[in-house]
Amino acid sequence: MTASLAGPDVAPALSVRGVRHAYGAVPVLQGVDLDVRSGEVVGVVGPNGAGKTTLVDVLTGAVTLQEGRVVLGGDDVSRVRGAVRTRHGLARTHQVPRPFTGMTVFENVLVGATAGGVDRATGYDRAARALVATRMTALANRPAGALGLLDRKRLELARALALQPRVLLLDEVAGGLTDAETDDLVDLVGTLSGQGLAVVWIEHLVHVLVRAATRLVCLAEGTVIADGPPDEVIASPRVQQAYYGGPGS
Amino acid sequence: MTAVLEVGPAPTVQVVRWSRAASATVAGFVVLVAVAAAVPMLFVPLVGNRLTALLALVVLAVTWNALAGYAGLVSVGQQGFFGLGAYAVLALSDLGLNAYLSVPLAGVVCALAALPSSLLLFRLRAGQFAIGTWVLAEVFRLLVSRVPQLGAGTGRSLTSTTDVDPALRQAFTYWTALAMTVLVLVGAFLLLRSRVGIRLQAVRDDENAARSLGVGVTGEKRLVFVLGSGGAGVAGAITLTNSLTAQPDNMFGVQWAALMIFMVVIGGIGTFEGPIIGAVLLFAVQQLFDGFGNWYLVGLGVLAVVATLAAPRGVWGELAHRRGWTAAPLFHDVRWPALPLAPGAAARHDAADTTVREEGRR
Repeated sequence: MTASLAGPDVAPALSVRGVRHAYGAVPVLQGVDLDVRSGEVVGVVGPNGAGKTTLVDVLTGAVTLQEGRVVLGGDDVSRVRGAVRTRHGLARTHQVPRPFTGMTVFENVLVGATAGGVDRATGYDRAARALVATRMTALANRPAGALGLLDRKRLELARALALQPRVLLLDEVAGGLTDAETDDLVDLVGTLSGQGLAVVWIEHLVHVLVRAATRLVCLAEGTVIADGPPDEVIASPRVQQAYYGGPGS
Repeated sequence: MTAVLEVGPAPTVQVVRWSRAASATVAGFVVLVAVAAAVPMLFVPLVGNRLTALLALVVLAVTWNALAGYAGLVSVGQQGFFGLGAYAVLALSDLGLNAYLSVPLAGVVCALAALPSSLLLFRLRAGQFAIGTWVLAEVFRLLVSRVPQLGAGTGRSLTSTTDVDPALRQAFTYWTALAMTVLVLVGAFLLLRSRVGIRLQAVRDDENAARSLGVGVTGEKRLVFVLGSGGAGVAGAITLTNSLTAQPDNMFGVQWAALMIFMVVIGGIGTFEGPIIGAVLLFAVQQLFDGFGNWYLVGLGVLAVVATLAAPRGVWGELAHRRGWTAAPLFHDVRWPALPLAPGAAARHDAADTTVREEGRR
């Protein structure tokens, strides 16, 4: 999976087709289509209530898919349980970091690194790579419960990377980071996507995504209202209207 | 798929999983077991009788800690399997089996009973799960009370060992208990040290996060529930072969759940060493107040109050937290030979302590 620069003939790493989801009588996703290719960083933006969180839940299998399809690397995972989707190459971070507080940083990363029954040495190797990539090596023996917010966010990323995913789902990772920390994060995501990782980055901080994303997707009222290069999407009248309520200037 | 993470050169990592303290623990454990095995030959039988009760407590504490401390399964119904184990020995003896061989088999019976039970109980969460396990224990008690062959509600005695000389019988019971305790301790240690142990702790700390990292969660929990319930059954079987009488209200009594929680919380929940210490402390209080009737409960209360005030993490939990003590080597101590270590990242174990190294590839 060395970035075979996403030609249109290559199957997307992640493909979402006609996904609809409702909580009771309230429709939240109303027919979402989305393709993410290897090497792409796709930013997903949208005003509050657009369905971003539900989209995350649908992709990760946290909620049962009601209608539509989710395909990972050619495998239809629509009916596959969340824990098993990692075997199809999906990894995620959580909006609010969820470290395993009773374990060290290394042990946290080892959970993902040893998933799928790899041997011990391979697990250690994967964990080590994830810690190096997120610059957490010096914290390897720290109890995860003692980490500050930034390190907890890095740990989220390290654990996800230890799964050696093909598709990485970032859920609001930039919130609360300083500009320098955000720069680091954007650089890291750029490096990983350069190596063929497909990234779906859901974020309400649009300015971060404009820098990091190769493509921007805007959700509003449960549908994709814009999909394209970040500058064009931001400038689109429909997106302006969705965010500010009036016609775009 | 390995191309994705090759950021920079491949790191060299050493993961140290042994220490001098661990060697001392293993040596101490071997000596202790050897001495314990010699006890019936050296001391009056009464000591053997009491020590058997202690061993049953250790098994109960260690297996309950595996459930609550490592898998997040706070069961208050393990007395159901404790009682079932005791009655299994009665039933197996009636079938002509040797009472001492029945003890490990009673554990198997309880593990088998735990498997279908888990299908029902695992639909419940947290507090509901706790209550559900208690209900299950009551169901087991009521079922056993309906069986006249097992003495129904009034109970029965184990008669298959009565023709053995009492001193010899106590020694056999004690040796059986010792062998089962060693088996449970070594088994629990190996399980927690394996990759399953890491996954279990992840489940305990955050089920949803564990799931997102590919941990099935239910399978891991079921494994611990089945093994832990087998352990509770073994403790019940030991208790029956020691006391020789079983009565449903006692064997399935919720006081056993209270003792399990007491030992694990006082000793240090989620630590390997804590429950053993908790069992010894409980045993000490029981011996101290022996002959003073219900003052024993006052002693327990005082110990609980003092422990929760002075050591809220439990005795061993505090030592591990404040001083970094680890007797059982369940840790992963990471070294980066090629990378500079930041201050504060000092390992929990001195480099000189290292006797075994497991190196990552390359």
